[in-house]
This record gives sequence, structure tokens and C-alpha cells, in this order.
Amino acid sequence: MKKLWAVIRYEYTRHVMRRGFLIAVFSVPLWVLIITVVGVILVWVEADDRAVGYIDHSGILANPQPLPERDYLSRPIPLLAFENENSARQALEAGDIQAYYVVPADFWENGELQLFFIETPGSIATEEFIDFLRLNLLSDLPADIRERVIEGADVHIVTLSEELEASGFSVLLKLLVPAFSGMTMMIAIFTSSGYLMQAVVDEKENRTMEILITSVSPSQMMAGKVIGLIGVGLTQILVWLLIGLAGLTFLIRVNPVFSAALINPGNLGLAIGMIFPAFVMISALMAAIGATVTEAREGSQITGLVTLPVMLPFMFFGILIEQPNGILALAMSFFPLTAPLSMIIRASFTVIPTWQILTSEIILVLSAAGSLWLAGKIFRLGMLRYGQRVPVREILQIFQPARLRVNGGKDE
Amino acid sequence: MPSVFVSNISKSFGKVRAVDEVTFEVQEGELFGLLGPNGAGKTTTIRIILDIYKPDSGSISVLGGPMNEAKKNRIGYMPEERGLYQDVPLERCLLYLASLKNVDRAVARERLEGYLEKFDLQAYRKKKVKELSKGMQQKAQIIATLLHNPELIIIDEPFSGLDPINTRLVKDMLLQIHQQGTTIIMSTHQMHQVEELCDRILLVDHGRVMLYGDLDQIRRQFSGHAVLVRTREPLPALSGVAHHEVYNSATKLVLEDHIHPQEILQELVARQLTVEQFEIALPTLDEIFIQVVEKRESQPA
Repeated sequence: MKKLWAVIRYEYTRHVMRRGFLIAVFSVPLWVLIITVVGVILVWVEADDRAVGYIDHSGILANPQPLPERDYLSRPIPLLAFENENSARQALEAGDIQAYYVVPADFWENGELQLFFIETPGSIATEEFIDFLRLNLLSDLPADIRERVIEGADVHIVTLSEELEASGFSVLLKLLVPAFSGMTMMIAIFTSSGYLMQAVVDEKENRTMEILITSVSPSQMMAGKVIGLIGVGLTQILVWLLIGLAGLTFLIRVNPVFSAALINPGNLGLAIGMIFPAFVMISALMAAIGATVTEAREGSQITGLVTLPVMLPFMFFGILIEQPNGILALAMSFFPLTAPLSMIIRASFTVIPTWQILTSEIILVLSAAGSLWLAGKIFRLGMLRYGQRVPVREILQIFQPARLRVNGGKDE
Repeated sequence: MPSVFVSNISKSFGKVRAVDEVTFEVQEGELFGLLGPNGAGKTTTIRIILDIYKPDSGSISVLGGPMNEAKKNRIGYMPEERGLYQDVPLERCLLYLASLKNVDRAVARERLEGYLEKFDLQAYRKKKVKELSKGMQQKAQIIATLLHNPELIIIDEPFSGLDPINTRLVKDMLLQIHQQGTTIIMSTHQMHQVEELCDRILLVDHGRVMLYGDLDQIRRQFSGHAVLVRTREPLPALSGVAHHEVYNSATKLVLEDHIHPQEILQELVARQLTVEQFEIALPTLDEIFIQVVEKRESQPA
């Protein structure tokens, strides 16, 4: 146990203290922040908040009702009435307004409007006028009905079991946030299991392996490395999570609608339940790959066999959204490599039956245990092969217990 | 009780028989030489002793029984293809390796202090291993082998990459721990190092045992009928000498079959020559080795 702990501690600190790790951990949130800030600034700077003018020949806007105050992230756009087209044109040419509408006298009959501009006006400006017009078309109706028509319906999705709830803008957040977090976690898993593979290849290359296995058992070695590297991955996820939470807290203060981005505890539990065994499984497979190949470059080519299926659910994102309980979704939920992301994505769109969650979880846990076992065996096969790959034939022999033989490679 | 008992082990890799029915034992406290040219099967034999490889046949007893995890803490192994973490500071690397041998951190730290001083590596403790010279890395590797005070040390080619001063240093170190009662198996192809250090040897070639036993006895066994003589005066022609050859500062006299070395000594004394050296001419291990290999090669397989 003491040795296992020593391996875990060493592997953890060795990677976490590396400059490359710190850069990897902090660069991702930094980029997200930079892109967001730059995006917001660009929208703000480029958004044209000059007034939009209008000339009303129809009389609909003769005695206009103003739009109710709205919850804007950008600045509101004033709407200015002009007596005639000449004065509106002058204002447009002077740059006082960004565009002007002409509501013809026969608007009631054919619903046609004219829009004049020098440069295409922003979409917010045009939407604002259309809403304003709509509101005043309905001026005969009571105020609350008018407002309801303008605002539209805020759809609340509530399943019978009330496990899945979402509404309006929050629907979008609720759907995208879990998928996005799932992907982020996978990136963390791939990064740290990549380190693991690299570490094993290095130990083979610099011959440390012989010293190690005459000090600890290969299985202890393997377990220590996998646990240590999972620690590295979890640290990465934790840092991102904390930075994400800090960012979210700020956004919720700006606008409470962002609180929908907080994943509900049920889904969070499911995600953790899926991610953890997936982490063990992927790390073990990566270590096994590291033990079979001769150099890291070769290893990273083979890792595609693992990383590709894991990311597959993203490629079928559309199908998973449309048919979260379809055959493909089900199949992917029960295949160990695709299960974690499929389940996380599905959970955002449907209520997954308990039996499916349990089956998927059991498959994942068993696969994780199996991968560890397999990795231990392959590790023993490959650990002393310098400059030589372990032949597939020998790996397959692992599954024939009676014929299992530990064999070394090139030697003197 | 022998520290290591190897009984009739064989090991093949594909069609190559790397170790072929090898049997030997290493007594407790002994400094044992495992000899052979490159590719003779020395490293494979060591790896079998350490349970890195399983033998195809035969059995091994280490420290009184089969190898197990607990015994790993009592054994120090320095592989020929040395391995230290390259990207890690020297001190951290050595302390980690000691922790894998279950040495308490404080104890390891204290011992490391002594070794770094002895091997003149104090100034490099914070340097990454890859920044050290080959000789320094070799010394660091030796520290890693000794840091947990093992009862049995298996050390593969300990002198490769060392300059004469460091070779002396390592030799003295080995002799010192040998005197403290530690069992040492030293594998090398440098015969003269073994002559200087070891009491008993095993010589393997092509996986097979060529010679095994007490070094002095082996040399006697291979000694021709000859004596080494050095006198202050020029050596006159002596009766009973088939031929002679100059051998370093002495002369090697190859005797006729019926002549006993004692008769030559008596003749030298009778002629009132000042005898400065008179000894039975024993072959060097190099010579023995060449003899053995040539003999083996001349025999049909």
C-alpha cells in the first residue's frame, strides 16, 4: 500500500508541477474568456444604436404606444417619428438615424413597408420597429394581451416525472451546457491519459522500467500510475469547474437567466458516475498502448482507436437530440467507449430509464476493471521490449489463460 | 545457506536459447563474478533471478526461497541499460526510487546525503538527471542501488562509462559493502575487474556454463607447467626449461614435463642469483576465457 501511494504521489506531482500542465490547465479558460470578452466588445462596438426613423401615412402610429421596457444585453434603440420623407432623408444623410421606415397609407390592405438606409441597419434595429408596429396594430386590445402577443410564449418543458425542466433561453443553456462540459471533461481525460502513455513509453525508452519492476509489482505500478494520472485529470477538471463557476456566478449577477446553466444534481451525478469509470478505462488503455509501442509518436497514432469512438457521440449529436431513445442512442449507451458522452447528451434531452443507467454504468465499471487487468498483462509483456513492438498475436494470447506465458523481448 | 541458488534454468527467445541449463549458487556475503562476453546470457540470467522473466525450466531460490514482492526491498539491482528519470531533479529521482523500496523518507534523505558527498554529487542534487554527465549518471545509479541497504546486490556492468578515478571509487565502494557482509553478484565482461574483486566466478558463453568455481582454483587448473621468475642478475640458461618468454618484467619459464618448479628454485639459489620473484605462472582470466572459447569452438556442436 505504501509503495502504491508512493507511485501515485510521484506520478501526480511529477505531472502537475510541469510547466506544460499549468499552461494546458489555464490556457483553456483563458482562451474562453478572451474569446468571450472580445466577442462582447465587438458586438458592443459594432452595434449601431442610432435611432430608427419612421414616417407613418397609415395612421397606425399616429398616437403610438411605446414598447414595454425589455431586458436587453445591448443598448436600446430609439424610434423617431418624422413628418415627411425629406426630413427623414436629411437625418439619414446627416447620420443621425441609421434607417427609416415608411408605412404606406394602404398598409392595412397589403402589409407592405419600405425601408431606406445607406448601410444595412442592425437586426436589433429592424426587429425593434416591427415589434413597435405590431404593438400598435393591436392597440384596440387590452394591454396585457398586446404584450403577450409581442413577447410570444415562453415554453416550459416539464416531463411527467418533473426531472427535466427548461424554458425559453434557458432551454438552450440546459441543453448545451452538459454537452459542452462532457466534451471538456473528455479533453481533460485525453490530456492526462496522454501523459500516462507518454510516461510509460519514456520509462521504456530510458530503461527506468527495469528498476521499477524490481521494486514494485507491475500491477501496483500500473494502478499507481492510473490513479495518479486520474488525479491529474481531476485537478484539471476541478480548476476548469471552479473558473467556470466563477464566470457563471458573474453572469447570473448580470442576468439571472444564466442560472439555467447550472446542471441539475441528477445529471451531475450521472455525469460523475459515467466519467469516473470512463477515466479509469481510457487511462488503462492508454497505458497499455504505451507499453506495446516503441515511441510516443507511434503511440499517438494508435490512441485514435480509443479517442475516436469516445468522441463518436458528438458526431451523431443531431441523431441523439432527435431520437434520444432511438436504437442508435441505446446502442451507443451500452458500448463502453461511447457510453459516457452518449448518456450525458441523452440526459439533457430525455429522461433515461433507470434500468438503462444501471446497465450502462455496470458495463462501464466492468470495462474499466477489464481494461486495468488487460493493461497489467500487456504491461508485463511489453515492459522490457526496447525498440520492439509487442505483436498482436502475443496480446491475443493473454485471453488464452492456459497458454499464457510471460515472454521477454530482444535480449543478450 | 546460499543467497541465490540457480538450478538448471533454461530460457529461449524464439529459436535463440539465451540460457541453457545453467546451475550455480552464490553464498551469503560473497562477491560473485558473473562473466561472459556480450550476448552470453548474463543479463537474461539476472532477469530470471529477479523474476522479471520466468524460466522455461529450472528453479530459482533467492534469499532462502522463491522470489516475491517483499524480497524486492532486500535486493539492489543496477541494470546494464541504466534507467533514471531524465526530466527529474537527481535528489527527487533517488528519493522516489528509495521510497519504492519501502525506505522511510527521512532515513533515505540522511543516507542520500552521505552518498552524494562520497560520490561528489552534492552540487548536482537539484539538477535534472539528463543534465548530468554519463559518469555522474552512473554514480547516481549506483546510489539508487545502495540507498535501501540491500542484503543482495546484483550489479550489471558497474564500470562502464566510468573514468579510472571513478572506477576506483566504485570498486572501493563495492569492496566496502562486501566487507560489511552484503552479497554481491557482479556481472561484467571486463575480466580484469573480476580478477581484482571476486572470489568465485561463473563464466557463461552462448547461454552455457563454461567455468564455475573458485577463481584461484580455476586459474591453477588452467595454469600450464610454468613459473614466473625475476632475478636481479640476468637469467642464465637453466636445465629442465623447455622454453622461456619475457613476461612483463619477469620471465615465464615453461618447464619440461618431469621437472618440478621446486627444482628450478633450488637451481637459482644454488647459482647464487638474487631471486626477486618466483611464482607459479597462473593465466589471466582473459587467457583462460580465450582458451575456453577456442576449445568450445573447435569442438563440434
